[in-house]
Amino acid sequence: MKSTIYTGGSILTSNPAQPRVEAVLVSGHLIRAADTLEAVRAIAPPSTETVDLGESALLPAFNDNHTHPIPFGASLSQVDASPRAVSRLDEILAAFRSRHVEDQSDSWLAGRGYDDTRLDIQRHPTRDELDSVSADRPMLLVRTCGHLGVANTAALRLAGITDTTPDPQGGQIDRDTHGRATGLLRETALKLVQRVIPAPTAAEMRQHIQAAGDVFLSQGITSAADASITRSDQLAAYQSLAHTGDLPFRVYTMHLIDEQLDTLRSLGIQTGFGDEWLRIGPAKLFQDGSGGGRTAGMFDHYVDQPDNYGITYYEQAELNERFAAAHAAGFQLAAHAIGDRAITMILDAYEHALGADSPTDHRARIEHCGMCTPDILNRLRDLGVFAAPQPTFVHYLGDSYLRNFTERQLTLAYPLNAFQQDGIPFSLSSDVPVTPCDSMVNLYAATTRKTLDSDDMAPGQAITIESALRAYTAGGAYGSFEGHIKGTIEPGKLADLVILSDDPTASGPEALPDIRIQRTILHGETVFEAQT
Amino acid sequence: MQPGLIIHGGPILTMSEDQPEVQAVGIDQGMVVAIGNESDVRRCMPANAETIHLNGRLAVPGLYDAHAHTFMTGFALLEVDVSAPGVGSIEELRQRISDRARSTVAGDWIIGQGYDQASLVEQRHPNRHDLDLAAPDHPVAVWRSCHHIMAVNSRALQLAGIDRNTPDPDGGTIDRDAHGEPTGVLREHAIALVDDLRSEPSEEEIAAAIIAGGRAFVEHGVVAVGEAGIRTNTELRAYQRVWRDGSLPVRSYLMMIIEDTLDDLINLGISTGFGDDWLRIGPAKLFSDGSIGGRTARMRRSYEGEPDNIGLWMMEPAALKADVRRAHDAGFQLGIHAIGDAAIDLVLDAYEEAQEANPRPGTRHRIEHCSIVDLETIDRIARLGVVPIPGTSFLHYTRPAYEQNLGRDRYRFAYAMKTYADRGIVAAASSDAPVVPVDPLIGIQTMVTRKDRQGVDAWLEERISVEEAIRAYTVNAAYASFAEQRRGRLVPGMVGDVTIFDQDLRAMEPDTITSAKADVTIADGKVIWDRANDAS
Repeated sequence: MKSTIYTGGSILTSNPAQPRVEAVLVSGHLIRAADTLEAVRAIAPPSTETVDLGESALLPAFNDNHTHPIPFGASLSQVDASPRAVSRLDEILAAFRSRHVEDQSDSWLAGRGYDDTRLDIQRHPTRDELDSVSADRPMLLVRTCGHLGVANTAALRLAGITDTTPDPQGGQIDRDTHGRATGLLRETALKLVQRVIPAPTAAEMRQHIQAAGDVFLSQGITSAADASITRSDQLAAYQSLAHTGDLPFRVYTMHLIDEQLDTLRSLGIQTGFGDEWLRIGPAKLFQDGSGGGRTAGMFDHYVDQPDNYGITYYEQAELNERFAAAHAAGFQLAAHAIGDRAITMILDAYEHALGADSPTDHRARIEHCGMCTPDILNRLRDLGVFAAPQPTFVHYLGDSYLRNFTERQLTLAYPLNAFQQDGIPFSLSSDVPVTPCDSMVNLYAATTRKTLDSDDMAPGQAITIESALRAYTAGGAYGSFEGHIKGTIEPGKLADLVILSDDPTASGPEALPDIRIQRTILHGETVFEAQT
Repeated sequence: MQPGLIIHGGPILTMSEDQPEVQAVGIDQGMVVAIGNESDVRRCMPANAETIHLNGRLAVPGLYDAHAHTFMTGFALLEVDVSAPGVGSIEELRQRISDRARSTVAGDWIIGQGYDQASLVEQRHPNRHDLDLAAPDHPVAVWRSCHHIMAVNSRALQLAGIDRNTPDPDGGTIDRDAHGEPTGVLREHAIALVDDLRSEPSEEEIAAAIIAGGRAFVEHGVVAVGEAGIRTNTELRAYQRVWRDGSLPVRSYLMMIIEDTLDDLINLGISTGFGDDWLRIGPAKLFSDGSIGGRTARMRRSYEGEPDNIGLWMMEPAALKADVRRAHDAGFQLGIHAIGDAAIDLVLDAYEEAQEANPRPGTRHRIEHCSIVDLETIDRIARLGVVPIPGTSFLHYTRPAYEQNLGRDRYRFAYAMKTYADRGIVAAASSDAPVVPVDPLIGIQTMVTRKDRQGVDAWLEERISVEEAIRAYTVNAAYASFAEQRRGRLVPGMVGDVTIFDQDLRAMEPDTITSAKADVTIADGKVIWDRANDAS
């Protein structure tokens, strides 16, 4: 069993009772001591190695509390249509074309990450534009938010979508003035196509998880919640990696209610079952779409679109029924809700499901919880709800939000400071691949509220670096009921640690993007080390 | 944050090749951090660590019973005990029932177990009038020790609709008095008329039974159990409830009964290994045959004195093979109850065919009990990498029944721990409680002496040492549940589970090993039971 002492630099514990210590002793997979160097040396076995941190800082490793690792891993081998890779439509089409030529099979061509507001054409691509690469081979280009996508003719055909197919509940098949499907599909309409794409093989799934893991670990992220488990092969892939000790990061799974609750209930498995590597999380549903794509469900219409109030998926009675069933079956509750109307409906449903029980430590979650109001904040606090916002949305998507919403609506958008002040527990996350899982950018956005174009999105909602770090470590652990085993540097907790090039509290929020991840330690083992 | 623990001052068997016996162990944050001599260990431990002085007592890694029924043991404990020698008369039996009645809600069932009319002064079965006197406001049912006869009161008869006009069911008898009235004594299939009335236990009831059964194991030095059967979601929820509350007494490796659970497990993508060191999904489980005592184990040759009886199949062989294929392909370890030699043949065929069709190395498929084998079968087990889970306590009680039903030669290799070890087969010890008692010392004594409780030998060729018997209860059991990286040995990095006996078992006359006791049981570095404090 290996033992290591870390000392000689800044050690930030995320533990308010002891925020900094001089030395940490790691033995095997656990933190044995976090104390003075003398106290740590007193119990270290003879063969203990010492790591001198120098200018660097040691922190608990990061917990990206809302991610989609498998699609993210898959996207790494798909066409990258994100603003970081391309700015013009013809670049996207060229990338598709070269893949089409490289691999002449009839397998799907997939691309991900486009942001219409950051493309030269300033609109969504069309089916005809995709057809110019190939009309016969199915193609799907998904928007960065993951809720909208453009399909070519072959993909529409395989999904059985014609010009006269009616819009599914909670979705839209965009049509031109002649009633012809343009290829743009929103929300549940996008699912109609995704459903017919052949599922990855078990081996491919494991590869996607490994690919995602490589990126997570390079960002100091050792724990991630998978926010969308719908099929048996996803959990099977995680479990098969865990069984051989190859799971690259710790996973907390959110199970989609419509797809999985009946089976979960029939077996009797509940939230919490599992171990520190792989644990069953909440029962979840999506109640609306995205702020950037103008499909988040709002009380007021979107700017310049008097008829667009966004989309909500379920009626109130349907929400109530689902969450009551999930709660009775022993699940933590979770819901994707970005718009204020969607959030309100979820709060109503949570009150309905949880109200009858004597106060339980339910930690019901609202994922994103973006467009809040004073009334929503009061209810979040009173009901004991846990919020899972994405500061990376503020940064990478904030410019869209600034165009889509009024100033009043934006006052309490992803209101981290209000959560902090009102005692509403929260974590930080990226929803990767919706936005990049860049840890320092996430912390920067939480503490400065700066968008990509350097505008401010609700600057009053910035929080301190200490609060942001705490939310990005202990906050995520709290959201998965694992605060007793990880999230801080304390004796008895898992040795999941990150070494940063500098103390993040030393030079202010503007310096955060320049800080580098030097080393990531998971279960006591170094799993990532930056090239010097 | 718990203080560390140093155990020293006696022989500590680590079950590790490097340092098989040490004088001290240091456990911190629930994990073994140092082993060796006392000063070496103290040097690695915090100053405020607690200490346990062995005073020459033997300490071993926490014992692990690879196959037992925890909540059924608990239910049996929660039933009113009316067995001898505590109960020697109908009067005493009545007293026990009426004591229980006082703390039972009116109208709720009172269940007793263990009576033997031959041990009662009155030399008769309890009847309905005895039980009516004992508990007028409750339905009462009392099992005979064999579990084939039951005595019930009038209220129970009434609920079951049993009166003078009720005919005997097929394969059962309703005892009647001289006037033709039911006496309350029911035999064989007649028992179901009453037993079927009782509703399935609730989640709370199963949780209480897990705790009561688990405590029984802990009080005998056992920290981990292979729970031999989850059928219902209520049972699985009950386990999670006590696990979440921190009141699960023993680490539990759950065998999932295929008929009831496999479809759901496959539809979720959950298989063997899901869970943590306290609660984990184990093998997919099936029953291939019955028991030797009941002459229902499936044999190659007929039972003694019954040329037409070779036992029975609990399921059609083709169906068993199909289930094995499905579970094997879905990534499960298999665990199949197989007692008779023909049943074991079938199970090995099923495993071999499944592997041939879909080679999966390291599945560690198990055979539960694996009772009647010969050398050829044992060689086959070795070749296929199968893990037997022998009933290592059985012969203590059942040798006479094996002799009577099979003849001496056929149990030559029953629970053959020496032959298994010689052939490199990892075989894990088990009690199958509550079929036999929980006490692992019964198993250890039986493995070491190969004698039954009357002292009659059951093939001395299979005797092993005390260390090897403890290995069967530690390292081997951990291997049978894929836990050998974390449990089964006392070496740095492994969990701090320790069992301390009241003396050194190796120094005892082997025939007296069952007179020893577990003194202290430690799990995750915490004392969970101490005989001195009887901290229950």
